[in-house]
This record gives sequence, C-alpha cells and structure tokens, in this order.
Amino acid sequence: MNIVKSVRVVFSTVLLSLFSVASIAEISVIVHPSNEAGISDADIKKIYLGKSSKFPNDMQAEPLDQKEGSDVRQQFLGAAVGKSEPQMKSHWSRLIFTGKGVPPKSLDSDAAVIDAVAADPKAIGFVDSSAVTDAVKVVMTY
Amino acid sequence: MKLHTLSKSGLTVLAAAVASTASASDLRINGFASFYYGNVLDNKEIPGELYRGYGETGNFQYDTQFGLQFASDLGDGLTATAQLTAEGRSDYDAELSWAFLKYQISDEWSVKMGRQRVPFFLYSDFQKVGYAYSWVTPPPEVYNLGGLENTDGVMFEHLTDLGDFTSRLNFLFGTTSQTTNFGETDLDIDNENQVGLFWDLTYDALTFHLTYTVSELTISAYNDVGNGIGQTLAAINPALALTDDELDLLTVDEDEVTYLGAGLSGDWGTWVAAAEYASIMIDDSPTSSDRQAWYVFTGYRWDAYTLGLTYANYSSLNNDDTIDVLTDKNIEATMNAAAAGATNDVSAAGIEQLVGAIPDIYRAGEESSAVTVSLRYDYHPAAALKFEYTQDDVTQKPEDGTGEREFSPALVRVGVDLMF
Repeated sequence: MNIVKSVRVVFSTVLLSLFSVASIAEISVIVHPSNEAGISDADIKKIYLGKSSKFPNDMQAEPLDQKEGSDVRQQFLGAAVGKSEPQMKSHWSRLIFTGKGVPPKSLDSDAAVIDAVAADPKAIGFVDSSAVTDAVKVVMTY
Repeated sequence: MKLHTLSKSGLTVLAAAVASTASASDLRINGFASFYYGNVLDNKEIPGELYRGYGETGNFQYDTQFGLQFASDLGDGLTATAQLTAEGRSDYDAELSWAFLKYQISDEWSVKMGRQRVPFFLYSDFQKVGYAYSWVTPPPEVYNLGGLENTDGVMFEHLTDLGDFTSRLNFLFGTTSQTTNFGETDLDIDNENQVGLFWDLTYDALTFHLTYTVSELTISAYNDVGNGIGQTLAAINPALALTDDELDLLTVDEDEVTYLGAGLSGDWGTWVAAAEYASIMIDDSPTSSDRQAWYVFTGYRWDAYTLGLTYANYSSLNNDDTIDVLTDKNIEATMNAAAAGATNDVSAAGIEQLVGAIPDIYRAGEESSAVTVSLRYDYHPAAALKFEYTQDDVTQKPEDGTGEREFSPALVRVGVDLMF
C-alpha cells in the first residue's frame, strides 16, 4: 500500500513539475535598445488593448503579437493584459469592426519578434525570456 | 438597400479603397459571420405572427448573416472603410452597410463622412458582430430601431484621456431613408436632419454611455392610411374633414423624434454586466409616441464558457389622442349618416371601414418583459457556439381597452458566430 501510495505521489509530483515547466516559462517584454520610454505594466496593457498607440514619452508604438494558440501568447495575455485568447479576440472584434483600431501584427516565433524589434525603434514585443538577445532591451518580465 | 445602392453611395469609397491597394498594399479585409437556427416552442407562439422572426417551424435564415469589411489606410490620416453585409432576413441581398472616409484631424479630433453606424447604445458599433458579445443578438427591445441603426452623414469624434478616464464624444449630423420589413409589410422610413450627441466614458473595466438625438421622421404607411381616412371623412361630409392638428395625429410626416439613451457596462474578467435604458418620443405621432425599453444583463465566465442572464422590458403605447380623434370622428360620422337616413349605403360602409375597426397601425402598442438565458462556448479561437432561450410575456394593444391580447412566446436559438 505504502509503495503504491509513494509511487502515486512521485508520479503526480513529476506530472506537476512537468506541467509547471511547460506553463511557467518567464515572458519578457522587449523594445528597441534606443527606446528610453519608461514603460509600466499599465502602458503595456493599454498598447496591447489598442487603448493607446503611443509610449509614455509620446513616441508612436508598434506592438507585435505572437501566433494564436502559442504558449508564449497565452501566458503573455493572461499575465500582462489580463485576458484569455477568446476574450482578446472578442475585444479586438469590437475595435476592428468599428474602425477604431488594427490588432497588433502577428509574428511566427520568438526569433522573428526579436528581429523585428531589433530593427524598429517603435516596436514592442514579447518573447520567452530564454530567447532574449543583446539586440533588444527587456522592459518588463512576467 | 439592395445591391444597386452600391453604385450610388459606395462606389467612390470602394474605388478609393481598391485604388490604394495598388499603391500602399495595405487593404485590410476582416469578416464576420453568424449561422443560427431558431424556433418558437410548441404552444408558445403568437398565433398568426412570427416572434422575433421565428415561428413554430424552425428557421435557419433569420439571424444568419455574413459581413466583410474593407479598410484601407490612404496615408496622412485618411482611412476608407466599406462594410458589405448579407442577412438571411433580407434574403441575403448584399447591402453596403457602411461606406465612410475617416480623417484624423489631430490627436484628439477625427471626422467620418459617409454611411456609418449611429452609436446609439453600448453595443451599437458592433451590434452585427455576434462574436463580440455573449448574446445571439443584443436585446432587441433596446437595439431594434427598425432600420435606423445606420445613417448617411458626418460625425465628429473627440477622444481624450482625463486622468484615468477615457472620454469619447461624438457629434452627428445625418439623414437616412430605409425600407424596413415589419412583419408582412415594407415600410418606407425617412429619418432626416438627425442631430446627435453621444458620449462614452471609460474607467478601467467600466464604460458609461449617453445618447441624445433629435430628427424628423416620416413613415409613408401611416401617411397613406391617415390621408385615406381624411379623404373618406371629407367625402362623407365636408364638415367631418380632419383639421391639420387631427391629421397630424394620424400621420408620421416630418414628426420630431427624440432619442435618449443611457447605459453602463463592466467587464471584470470572470464577471461581466450591462444595463441600458432607451426612450424614443415622437411628437403628435399615432404610435410609439412614448416608447421605452431597458435591460439588465449579467454574465459569468469560466474556462471557455460564458453563462448570461438578461431581463428586458419594453413598452410602446398607443397615442390616446389618436384613438380619441378616430373614435370622435366615428361617432360624428355615424350620427351624420343616421341623420341623413343612411343605413346601408356607401357612407355607412365607409364608416364601418373607418371605425368599426380602428386600423391596426394605430393600435400597435405593446408591452413586454422577457427573460433570456444565454450560453457562449468559445470552442475555437475564431468561433463561438451559442445557445439562447428567451421567455417573453407580451401584451399587445395594452391601451386600447378592446382586443387586448396576452401571449407568452418562448424562443430557442442555437448557432455559431465567427470572425476572420
């Protein structure tokens, strides 16, 4: 009985840690190294919800999104924006069909986001922290 | 508003949008679609009438629709937008619902010219986009404006942050004419010289909305019937002819309409709620002289589901003055006919026609209160499955005294909303 029990415990602990590893990767919000705007949680949320098109220093912001359904996107939306993917879609459907906004451009991978941010002083994106390189500046982690 | 309208009002914008693709290649196309089946439950129908477009026999058409939106950034703050929709309830005739140019004058000011949605209520801007909310359709008690949802005109917008609040003020000047299908009949409705003021105030998860518009309304069907009655009376005896004031009570001819609306909504992630009130007052009008509607909604989200509960109330009263004019004229005409010794002649028949039954359009008043349970399931990133059950209590012609009828229709709708 005890053996069965401890096997169970071990097994579920392994499962749990696997699950945590998969879902608690750290997310970094990145901008161009020249971007000196002091960006807060609230600014990131506003930019990704289309409520603001500018950084706090009044510079135009070009937010970049990641592929729908990707872990990094789901985690970013949950932690930084406070919305699930369907809620985000519903939110943007309201803006798109009223001509009030255009959703952030979606890129395929962390590497693509890093390349785009490194090349554009106005860009802001999010990636798995393990993918961050010197070409970009991290302004927030979740 | 069939396809031919395209050539009239939309071609310029479409052409502008398409032309810009060549140069800027940034034409954005977004679409939305809804596919719904609904039917009124057995023994829960209104005899001889459809309830919200549905009868006891199921229907796949009424709330099924398809929309495509084309938007193009022409540079220097100029954007062209066109929206084509095809609705099952109009036999899928393609309609150019929107066609406007937007110009960003400054950071805070912009102007839209052309055919556009009137932001009467909280969900008006996207009321056709089922994917954007958890109902199948927003409560029709408030949202059904009989085709006056869009207008052709110019709208100035002022958008600004006031501390933690975001304020959006819209000023509209517009005019619109629509042919609207009311049950079996098509009504020509003109809504002219519409001046409107709309205000949204957003704070965190809360949005407050206020509407005030005035316009001049003309509904041809009332004028046909009203003028017909006037001619019949004058033919019976010139002394019976309607005065201008009396005719005014029987017709809707450039009558001043005031729309008032107020709403509050909140979205806290797990909980979502909204409440709205709308009032339409038409001066010296035979019907809807005082129309009021409101609803309260609350929804609870878990995983991919949203369960919603809505209570909606509607009241559109007959105009007592209109009924009085018709009743008085009826009595006068009857006495006149009796004095002339008429029993079974043309004038008596005319009277019978006139007053034996006061025309139904003058007794279209209705009161209702409905409870709706809705379930939304986001089973796919771009599609939501919805189920909705509505139980209504309807009293028709409540102010008439005679022929008041009560019904309790129940409607089930199930379907899918997409966006792409």
